[in-house]
Amino acid sequence: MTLKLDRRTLLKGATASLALPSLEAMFDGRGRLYAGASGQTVEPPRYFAAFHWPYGLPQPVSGSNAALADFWFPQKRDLTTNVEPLTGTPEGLAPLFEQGPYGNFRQDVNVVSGLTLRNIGEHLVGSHGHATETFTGYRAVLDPVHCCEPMGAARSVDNVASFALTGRPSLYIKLDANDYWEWSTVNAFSRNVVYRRPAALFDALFGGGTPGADDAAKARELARKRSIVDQVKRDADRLKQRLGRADQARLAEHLETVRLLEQGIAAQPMGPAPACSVPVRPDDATYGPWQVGAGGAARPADPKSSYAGFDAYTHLMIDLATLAMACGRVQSVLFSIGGSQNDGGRFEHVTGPAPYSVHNIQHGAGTGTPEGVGQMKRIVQWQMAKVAYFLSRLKALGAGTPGGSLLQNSTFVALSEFYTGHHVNNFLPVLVAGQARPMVTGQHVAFKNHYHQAYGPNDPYPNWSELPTWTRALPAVPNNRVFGNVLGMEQSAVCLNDLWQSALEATGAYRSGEKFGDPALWSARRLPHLWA
Amino acid sequence: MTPRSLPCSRAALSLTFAAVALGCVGEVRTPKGVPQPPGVEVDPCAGVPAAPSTAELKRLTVTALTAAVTALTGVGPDAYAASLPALPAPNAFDSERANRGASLQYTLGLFDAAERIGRAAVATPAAQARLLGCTLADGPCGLDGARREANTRAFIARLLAAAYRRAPTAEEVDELWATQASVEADPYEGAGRVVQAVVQSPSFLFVVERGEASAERDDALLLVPDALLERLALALWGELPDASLRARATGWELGTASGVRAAADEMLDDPRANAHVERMVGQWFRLAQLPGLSRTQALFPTLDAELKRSMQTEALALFDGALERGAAFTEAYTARRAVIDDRLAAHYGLAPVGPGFRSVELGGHPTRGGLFATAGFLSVSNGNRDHSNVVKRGNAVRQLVLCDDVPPAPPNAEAMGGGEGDLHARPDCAACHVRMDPIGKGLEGYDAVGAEQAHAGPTLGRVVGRDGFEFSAGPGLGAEAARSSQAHACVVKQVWRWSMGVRDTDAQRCSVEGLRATFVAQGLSLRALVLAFVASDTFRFVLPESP
Repeated sequence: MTLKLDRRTLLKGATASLALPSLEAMFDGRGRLYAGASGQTVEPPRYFAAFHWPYGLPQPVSGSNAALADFWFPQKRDLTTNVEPLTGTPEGLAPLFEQGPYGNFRQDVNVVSGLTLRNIGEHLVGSHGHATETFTGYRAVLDPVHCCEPMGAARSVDNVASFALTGRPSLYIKLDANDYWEWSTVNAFSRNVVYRRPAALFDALFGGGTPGADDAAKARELARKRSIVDQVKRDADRLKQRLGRADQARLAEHLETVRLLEQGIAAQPMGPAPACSVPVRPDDATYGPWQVGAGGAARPADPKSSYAGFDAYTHLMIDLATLAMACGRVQSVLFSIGGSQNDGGRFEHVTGPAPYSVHNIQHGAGTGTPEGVGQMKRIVQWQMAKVAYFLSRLKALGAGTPGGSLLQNSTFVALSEFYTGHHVNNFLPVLVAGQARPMVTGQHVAFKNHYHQAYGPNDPYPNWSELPTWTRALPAVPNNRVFGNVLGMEQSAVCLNDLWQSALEATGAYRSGEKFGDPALWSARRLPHLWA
Repeated sequence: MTPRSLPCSRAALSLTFAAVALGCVGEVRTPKGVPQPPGVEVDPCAGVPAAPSTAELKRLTVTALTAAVTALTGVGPDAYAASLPALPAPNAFDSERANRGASLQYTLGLFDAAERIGRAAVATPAAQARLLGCTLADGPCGLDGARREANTRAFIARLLAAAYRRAPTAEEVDELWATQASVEADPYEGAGRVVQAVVQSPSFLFVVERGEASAERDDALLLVPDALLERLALALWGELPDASLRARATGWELGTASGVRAAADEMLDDPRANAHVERMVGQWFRLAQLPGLSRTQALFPTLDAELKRSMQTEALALFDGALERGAAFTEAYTARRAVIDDRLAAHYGLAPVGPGFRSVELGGHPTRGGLFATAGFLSVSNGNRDHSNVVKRGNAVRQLVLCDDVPPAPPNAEAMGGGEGDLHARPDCAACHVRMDPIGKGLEGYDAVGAEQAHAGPTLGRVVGRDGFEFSAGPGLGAEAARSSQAHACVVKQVWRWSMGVRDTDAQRCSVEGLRATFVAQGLSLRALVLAFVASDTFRFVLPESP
């Protein structure tokens, strides 16, 4: 498939504009006034960005005793400390740790090992809420009648950050079509808006044109939109008076989404932003064909991400996501490569014609086969290359301005919901970056994890959840919580919610003692060795 | 230690598997609260009145919204297609509660759609004339100059009355007039803004079901005629009543069961009823999901969008005429004819049929005939798997044809894997698998896209349970399902769910059983079932809200 939109051309204007030193010296990386009229320095805004890849890491070939952690986690050499420099290059992290087309990010990131969400439990009836749980810190709610429709039980971390920073929902992008499993939730009953089509994303972000241009016309349009929403609210108020209590509650849920829509309209950016140059509107057809889903939603016609243009499509969506931050449209992004725990996701643009979907490699017919494991390794490496590309954009945008690059003002977390796709929501692969608050990077921050997750005596693949011996031998940190005792073994680990707590505090989203995730699970505490 | 802190202990596993196993028991049970003397065969539902339904605020489906917007504004059928998100529960009907929940994506999509509808409604002089109910010969529809306010107010009042299904208040008209006048210099753009506001207002989007006391029952409220008419139109046509129907309804006696039955009988003769049945079976048997069917292209090189469309056409054609008087619904299960084109003929290894779709006689073909032998059903029931899958297909038949609520597989089910022997020997797996896998085995002669495949093992299928049977291939399953009382009850339940947007409850078991008996007595006629249902107390009465 031919890529009609030249991405480099698309970005050239924006990047060149951002790099101009003279006038832009007064503006920060997102195009806002950096120095106040009185000369006082204005604190640059902070950003939150999460990058999700599905299904975790490859599992070993059946019968092999190879430690699967070696593929991705750096070898821990000194077991007396939780922190040591990132030396060596695991196969899976090569796109980040070796000089590649987007740079070398060894000194920009920390690898975090040992975190768990195992303490949230396993869904023995219904089993597909892991990714949702990863971002909400709560056990997913499952519809007991219709199989496999997990729903976040709370506001997801990207929205916690976004509402705190901007009062409106985050930017949620998910590439692979998976119509009804979504990770980003604005509250306990509503998923966030998900963007898959480049043109729709562009219109949502930049549909109003260049910031600063024709603000009078935009103000009129905003007034129209507000008047419409006001009218909807007035009608709802009247209707409410005719309803019983149960129906009032149903209407209230709808009205809550109207209120969120209103907040989004109110937060439409206005005013000058010389550091931001709006790119060319992309053409969906370049990345199509697209089809209309069951309920009318457009999505890529091939839900298995096998079409040749998927790599270019991924880059374009990363470009738009990071430009959205640079242009002040959003301060929180959740970017997901795609669906988890479905049958899609072949990534044939990476592997060529592939016999297995990722699901079947991790969890079905391709499991443990040399072909399947080899396919999965290449897929994870491609995903890490996309992490590298995302980081490269965060580093480039705003670089050279007094406010600093996006990365300097961000908390960035890349992770999967699994160690392996065998439902192992323990020992999660995590990368962190960003200096929203100071953080020493270039380190492996390793937390003790002493939890063996197997599915009882009938588990045919117990070695897939086997942890490397070094993680058990590490010193316990204050966040190490004991959460079980099985067969005489103490089970302890550090909860993933602690990582989100740390990121949210570093982003400035939590200022007065709020806690992320289900308090009945574990009360989240800020992790040592990450952001100050 | 709390249970949550020990999530994967053997005890926890056992308890949960026990719960899963219980979920797989699909026997017909005695209704709660109905005593049954030991050893005495009695009809547990004898004398039990049909249970009323629950009134609830219901958001219109996309189908209903589209029809209503077209009637109000003339804006065409794609008004919502590009904006609204996919159904959150694609295996449920679009009218069901699982697909009616609030979501930001839906509200945003609605806002975008309303904006487009508002623009399109006044985009041309012809569109303006259509919206404002004037003729172009009158000039620019009378919103110019001094006539603007009076004529706009009249237009707003007409629009609101039609959209809100009630007379608007003066306050509502004032507000909309002020809204558009304050932001629009162009009166026609202003009219478009009014449309934009109205088509996303809750009074338009939601249906309120209101009942009142009646002499018939003292434990339930009889739906008021307007509410009953809306329930009827949504159940039978998938649309709100239009002006023509409201006019006809003035002569109907919607306060009585016989009056409702007569009204419904008239409405079922409308082409919209047939279209609604096609939507119902498309969602019920997941045929609507065929365009999104996913297979590895290298393994199924002929499976393209056109072939998927052909599959869908063939399967849906089986239900043509399902509403005709005297037609048995289960003819779709047992048909010995098929409507196919050359693509499907090649797929099935049959002789070409020539241009377009043709109805062909299948005679005694051992593997073709009826819904369960169509490539469409065999493909969607196989999930996204590239190989024929006995579990998926067995599960689909249990859920769709027998209405067993099969619980989701435990998370490690596939990894625990093992052969059939393991699955059926272990109690935690067997509870579900012994009810699913033997059914799927009967369909092992078809590959993942419904073409015939060589299969070494036996392909005798078996449905276990009180109403069990054995069958061979799709036609065999169809013949047995057409005789199965559980499958008959399932037709009743699916029609119930589709029409009401909620699932039947345990308390309504006798209502289902009564309708099943009527369905059977009336020769498995869908029309007779629908008429019995809309005339039942379940359809006509609602429970009062508890204090």
